[in-house]
Amino acid sequence: MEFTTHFQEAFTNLISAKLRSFLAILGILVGTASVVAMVSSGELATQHALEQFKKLGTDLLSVSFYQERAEDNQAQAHPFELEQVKKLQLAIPELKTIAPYITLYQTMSYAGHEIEGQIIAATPNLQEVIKLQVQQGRFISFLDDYEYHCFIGQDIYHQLKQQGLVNPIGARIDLGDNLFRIAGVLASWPENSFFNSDINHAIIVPINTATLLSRHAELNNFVMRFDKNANIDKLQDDITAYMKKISPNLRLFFRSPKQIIDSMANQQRTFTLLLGFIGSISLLVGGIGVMNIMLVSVTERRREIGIRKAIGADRASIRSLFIIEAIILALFGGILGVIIGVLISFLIAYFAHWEFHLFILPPLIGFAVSVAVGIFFGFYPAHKAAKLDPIETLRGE
Amino acid sequence: MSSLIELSNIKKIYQLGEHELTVLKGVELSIESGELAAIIGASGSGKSSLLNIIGLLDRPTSGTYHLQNQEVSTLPDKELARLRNQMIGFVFQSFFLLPRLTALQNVGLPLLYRGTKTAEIKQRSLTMLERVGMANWAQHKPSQLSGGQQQRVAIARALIGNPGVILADEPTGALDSKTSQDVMELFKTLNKDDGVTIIIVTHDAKIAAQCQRVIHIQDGLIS
Repeated sequence: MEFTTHFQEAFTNLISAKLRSFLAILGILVGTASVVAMVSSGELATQHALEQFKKLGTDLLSVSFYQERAEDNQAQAHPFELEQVKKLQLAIPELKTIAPYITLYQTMSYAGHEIEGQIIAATPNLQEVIKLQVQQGRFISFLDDYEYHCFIGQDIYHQLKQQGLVNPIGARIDLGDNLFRIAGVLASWPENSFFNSDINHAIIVPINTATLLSRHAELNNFVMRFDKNANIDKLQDDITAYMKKISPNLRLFFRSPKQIIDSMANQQRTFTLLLGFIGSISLLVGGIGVMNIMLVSVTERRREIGIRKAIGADRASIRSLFIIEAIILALFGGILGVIIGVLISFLIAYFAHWEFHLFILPPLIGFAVSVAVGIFFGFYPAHKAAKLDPIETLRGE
Repeated sequence: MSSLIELSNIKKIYQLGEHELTVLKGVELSIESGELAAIIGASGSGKSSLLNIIGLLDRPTSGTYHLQNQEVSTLPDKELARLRNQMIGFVFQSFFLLPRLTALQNVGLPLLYRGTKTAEIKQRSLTMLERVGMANWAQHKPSQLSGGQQQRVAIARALIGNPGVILADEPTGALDSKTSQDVMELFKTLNKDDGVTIIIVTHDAKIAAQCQRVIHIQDGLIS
């Protein structure tokens, strides 16, 4: 009974001093908002990162490599050729699909208008490894071989459309000095950090045409898909050993979804720590704000405390009266903070083009922390109120 | 030892730095149930200290205080709070109503600390306001009431818990003579009709003269 009445009284009290109450909760509000925003958007970022690989799978490995020129230039260069890719597949049984590709930059144009993008010379396997979807036409087939056929990404398709090209299949575009016929349009491809290039922004050609496009074309990448549950770390060593045997001066750079997820998690931890620190500081400042306002309130209400004591309130009930008020104050800040924090994480998700989910845990943490702050920083003023001597508070006019 | 209040050799000594100030020098006083008594004395005579001790707001330095045959001067704070709530009804010179609560809520406050149910508190508060002629002002805040009205509400608050004794500290000190008389009439009625024990501390001889018993206090002693 006493508790609910204390609750009502605390409420009326805080409302009667609106501005003061609001200023007191600002710190808690900012603190809770930043804690909630940080935890929520951290979760959203992780979800987003995982989302990439949910579609793509994690049984992947990408390798980029180049020849390190020997200093004396005497050593014979042993480039890793397309032929050897096939042998690599035989040597590594867990290797399910391997897709070698060459990235090239050439001037590209359609009907005299320049097109911006990149050329990727690839094999049919690329479709399976990085999950490409065809929107119109088809993707490279092994029959294409040296054919001047090309397959365009969504952005390229849009650029062509702006030049007035309605039906792209069969249209011809200039790549360097050669004329290529468009045989397929790829659906919009969700960019991910595993594959180096942006497919949407690329024109894909059969790998053998690379040498026709540029004398300097040299195999420098491939992406691989392994059997499920393959030990990627061990395979990485095996592949390195195999390739070094053929081409000792090769420098290799691996990238796997696991690595990417790990490094993202790492970044996330640093970020969380930093924001958590900021959040804690503002909660501390907010708590001090609450304590300050409660101390003022105790001083102002000395007489009230004396009256309550005279009519039978003991220390515990005076204490709980003030602690409840502090908790309401902090909780109010907490609720506003949670709302603002969720809003911030929503905006972050919106601008980062992540999918937004409402997580339950961060708001709960926000509430719990703000109540804890209320109790912790409300205790001293409440204790001070409870200790007041009724005679002294009632004396004198 | 059947008196309601039995004070025996009560002393109150305040420590002021190195000096001791003896305010009460061995008060002997007994009040029977149903009395309407006035304690009268000049300022500094020790009447406020005596009232604080009787009202369980303070403890005597030495001596014994029996309230309904129970020695109370050595009880712990929590127990004193409970006894204040059940045995004592305070009426103050400047009313001391809580400004943010309505008259009705103010009256019900003592019951709140007893853990009485909200509906019952409301019911009894209304009855009590009727008794002091303030039922029409139940939803008013103290600032909307005149001094006399506020004091009536305060008396209702003092009465609601059926206390053993009403302690009124200069209850008419802030009121004009007409209103003072109204309040005194209310006290007299409560005493006569309901047998409420009332102790009024005053320096006003006119008020004291209306009580059955007048207790003079001078220099810390009952004369």
